[in-house]
Amino acid sequence: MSKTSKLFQSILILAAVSMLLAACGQPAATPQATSAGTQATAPVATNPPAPVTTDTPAPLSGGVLTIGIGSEPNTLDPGAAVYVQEQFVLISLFDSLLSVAPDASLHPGLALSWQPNTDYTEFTFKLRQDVKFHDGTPFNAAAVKASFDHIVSPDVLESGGKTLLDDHKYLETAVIDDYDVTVKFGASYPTFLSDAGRQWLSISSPTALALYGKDYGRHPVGTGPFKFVKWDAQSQIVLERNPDYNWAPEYASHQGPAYLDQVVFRILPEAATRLTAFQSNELQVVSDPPALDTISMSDSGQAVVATFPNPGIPAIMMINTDKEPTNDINVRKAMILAVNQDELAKTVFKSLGMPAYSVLSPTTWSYDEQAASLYHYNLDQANQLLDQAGWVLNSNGIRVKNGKTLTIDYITSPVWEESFNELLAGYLAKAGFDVKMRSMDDAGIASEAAAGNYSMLYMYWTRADPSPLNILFLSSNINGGSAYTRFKNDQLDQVLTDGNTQTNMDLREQDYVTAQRIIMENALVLPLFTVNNVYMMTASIKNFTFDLEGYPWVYDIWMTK
Amino acid sequence: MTTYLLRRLLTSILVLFGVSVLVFSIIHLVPGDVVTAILGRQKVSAQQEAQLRQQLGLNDPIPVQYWRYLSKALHGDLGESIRNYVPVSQAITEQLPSTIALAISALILALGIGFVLGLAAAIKHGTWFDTLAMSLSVSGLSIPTFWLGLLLILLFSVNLKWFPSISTGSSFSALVLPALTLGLPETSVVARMVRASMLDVLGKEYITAARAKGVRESMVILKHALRNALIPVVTFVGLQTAYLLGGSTIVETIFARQGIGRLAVQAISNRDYPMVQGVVLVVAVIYVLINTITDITYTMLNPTIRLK
Amino acid sequence: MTAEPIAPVQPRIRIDSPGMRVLRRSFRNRSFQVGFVILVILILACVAAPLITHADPDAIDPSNTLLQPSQIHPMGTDGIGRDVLARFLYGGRLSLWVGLVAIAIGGLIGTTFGMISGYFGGWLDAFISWITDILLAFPDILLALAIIAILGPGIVNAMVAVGIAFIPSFMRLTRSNVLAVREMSYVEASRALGGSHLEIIFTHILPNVMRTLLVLITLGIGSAILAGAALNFLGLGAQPPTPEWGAMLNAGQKYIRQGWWLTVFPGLGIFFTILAINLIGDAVSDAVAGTVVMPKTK
Repeated sequence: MSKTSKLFQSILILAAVSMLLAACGQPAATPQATSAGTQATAPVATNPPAPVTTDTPAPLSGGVLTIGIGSEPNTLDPGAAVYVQEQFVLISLFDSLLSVAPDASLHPGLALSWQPNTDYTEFTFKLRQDVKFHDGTPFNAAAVKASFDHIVSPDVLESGGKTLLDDHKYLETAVIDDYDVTVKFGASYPTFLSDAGRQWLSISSPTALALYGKDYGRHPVGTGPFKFVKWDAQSQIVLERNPDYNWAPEYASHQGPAYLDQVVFRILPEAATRLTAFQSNELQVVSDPPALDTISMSDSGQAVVATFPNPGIPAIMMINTDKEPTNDINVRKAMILAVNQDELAKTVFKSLGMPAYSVLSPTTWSYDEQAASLYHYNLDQANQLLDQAGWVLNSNGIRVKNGKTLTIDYITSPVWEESFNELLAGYLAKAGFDVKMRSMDDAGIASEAAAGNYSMLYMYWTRADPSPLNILFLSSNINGGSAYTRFKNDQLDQVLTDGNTQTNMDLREQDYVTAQRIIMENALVLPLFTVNNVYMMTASIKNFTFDLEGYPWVYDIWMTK
Repeated sequence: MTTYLLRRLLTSILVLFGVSVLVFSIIHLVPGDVVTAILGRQKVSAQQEAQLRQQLGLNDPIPVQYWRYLSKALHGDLGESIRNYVPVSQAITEQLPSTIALAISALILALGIGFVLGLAAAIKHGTWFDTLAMSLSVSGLSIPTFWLGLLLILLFSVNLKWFPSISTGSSFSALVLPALTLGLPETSVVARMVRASMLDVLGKEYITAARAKGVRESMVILKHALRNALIPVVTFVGLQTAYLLGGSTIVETIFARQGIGRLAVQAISNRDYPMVQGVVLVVAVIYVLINTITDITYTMLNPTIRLK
Repeated sequence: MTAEPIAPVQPRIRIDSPGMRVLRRSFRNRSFQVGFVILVILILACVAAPLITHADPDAIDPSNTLLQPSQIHPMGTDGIGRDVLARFLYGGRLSLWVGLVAIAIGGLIGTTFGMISGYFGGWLDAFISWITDILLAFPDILLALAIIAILGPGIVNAMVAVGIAFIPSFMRLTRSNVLAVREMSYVEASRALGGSHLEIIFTHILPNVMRTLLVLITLGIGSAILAGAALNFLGLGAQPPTPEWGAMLNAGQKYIRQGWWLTVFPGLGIFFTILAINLIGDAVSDAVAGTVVMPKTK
């Protein structure tokens, strides 16, 4: 199976939500994450962020770039998309109303200018007049309306975009004239402008939407720098340059059509297979390569490595506070203390890994140092806590209390890094936990998660803003939502709710700092490691950069011969 | 002959009927609620859930559902993937050629090498060569496909870098390692079979008679023995389709090769039941058809069977 | 109810059963001896695992990952520092156990139905044969996969799946043997003397059927171990961190460049087990009929 990695790609980032960057337009809101955006050097994420653009000769046009990816998208309809691997492809096919630069600043996209009303329920956009879709359909206000209406239509069962629109009570898109349009919501939506820059809300050809109907996800038609050519199931997705492309964001390193003739996404679920394909020159870029090989190949100069440390919620275990034995806070504390995050990250990801100690990663806005310093690996202390809680070691090295064993029911997915799973189980076993792993796919995990049949559940969430905490910890999300710790606390609910609507940034930050402390003090999560996007590429790949959320910005890439 | 043919065809149709019932049942044998399993983590309103239930036709009585499944399947409609909404029949049509290319290359390899090995061992019966060939063949039979694949990757892709470790399409270099992996155990079976049946035939009276008449040994082998020894090998080809189609699941997984075997494995881990049903049904139907054809061919080649 | 009145028809059945005769004859065969020795060594090593190594197969040691085979770790360590020898030995237990349990499931059910089918004939026979034909319409690994699709992944489910996949071969062989034996004069005689069905089946038919079943059982165990390991290799059987040879190979694949020992040793374990069983099976089958009987292999 894979390294760091499949994590990033295949796990459902439920991420359906709001507030990409509540602090949109405030550069301070996205600290280190942005500078790392152009880091394409040695494997260590903390290496000097030397942008590669300067020392290279004039960009060359042409060539086929083959990228090895681990997971296949379910759809290429942006309105129906949820997963990371979908947005990875969509970014090259589609444009959005706005463009969000790697530093989180907003720039014109398909809209030249925009104007929200005072309570952030209506947004008026002035559209570009020189854009046409890959199928020749002109881009105009009707296309915007068709795209947004499509997202909320029954054709789309559930998606990231649908959640965004539904949560803010999308009313309608009013066409003022051909190139002026107003999007209306029933609820205040202060982060709509930055959300409107994401792949989920990008604009589709109304002709194609009508033509393909439910099948549109297999025949995407956008305005992006690349056109869709074909999709061979389980094998590859092929895109080709859009020669008419002349509306790149102003922060892009060039204008006009993309450099590459073609982009091929090869779907290779096994990390080892992606590596071999890279070594035999079948791939020029590998997403989530196996850590060991990546480091050795980078050290020997056979490959260039680019990493993107994701802000947001790092890889954590959400501990079920509603089920024995993890309903006992001492058991949960013991779990955190028993795991050596530092060693875990180094063992599994080598120098590519970074341990996590809190519910937010350090690159996230409002990250609180104090919450992250509550627990330090200490097996003795873990054992002590368990002893005090009445869990007695039996002859097999497993703790027992009142005839019940200290069992941790851990559902894993076959796509996850197995050695991290087993390593985690190994640490817990040292403290006398009996970890029972069950391997299931996403759908299986989903139904068990909904039913509360787990002791801990794996989670990570990439966002520059701490807002995913709301989805994962608001007690109103326990049933039917993703509050998998099933923890009820009025103060936590209150600060999270306030943090979601507060417009005063200082107060908002204070809300999220409090939230982090409550979460860690109650030992609701077992932090594991920061999630990094890792890409390995040949030296012929130039100008490889990341967008705000760590998706490779293929438009600007070019290749030496 | 006609009666035999009709009976044989009737049996096959009955079996196919049973296969369809069994495959149809998969979705109903799943413990728990299949709709919950499909929807998974997506939070869906009760209304949408009911809609999906309706869409899958789960509200109808089971016989009605079966009838609908069967009549659709007979028209080539195997439903839609619940993961990416691709028609199952389309996915299978896309993946099948790759599996067939693999299976045929493996078969050619097995027949070619196995035949020569078995024949030589039979002619040199009792010599060191015979012992060596048979030792090789029992080893070939004992080596797990998935291990063989890994060893071949280790040797030819990682160390020697002769062939790619991922395999796409039907080009020679892409097929070599997968075909070797899939075909080696078969080679052993062919070698053993050819040897056994040659030895059997060589001991027959008419061979002794031919030798007594002074026919040259090479002629004895080529003209008399070989032809008769071939009959069981012909049957073997048909029977091994099952193995080849089944073995493709593992070989395709190791070499990340497109094909219905890998499609099946992924569909299982994705709980994509319509896809699982479709692949299993198609493979079983292919298998039954090939078996029927083999049986009939065999009967025609060997008329004594008909008397039974 | 005694068997004695019938005994004269086939004397000394208990003293020298056909099965024993076959075994004794195979014992003289060279390949049987080789296979037997290999198998005994492997089984003893796995059973006596705690005596051979003190390492805990699940104990992690992150500071000693991917160590080459050495004195301390004769088969090296894996990606999280676990001792591969310990995992090999404990994993072997599970691999062998899967084969045995699966063949017991397939053998018991298959033989029972084959017996009923062959002995009673009529519509029951037609029905059971039809079911068998249906099961035979699926390549056995695919049948096992379909069963896993229904039951979900897991080691017990893998045993059941492989076991079910073996039912048809046992059923068919038993049935054809029963058909042959049923018409024998001593069976007819026993029936004439008023022997019950059960008595006839157990005293006359079963011992005769066992003779040919022996071949299928021996070779079948090999195939079952292989099939079980295959399911584990595909990640549908034993769940980590439980060691099992197939699962170990799967995990070893990603370290194929860093640690050849992770791919080589578990594979050798499976290989030698199957080789030994095939050698024994060949010898038994020679002893039974002098012909090569090959059940489906993977």
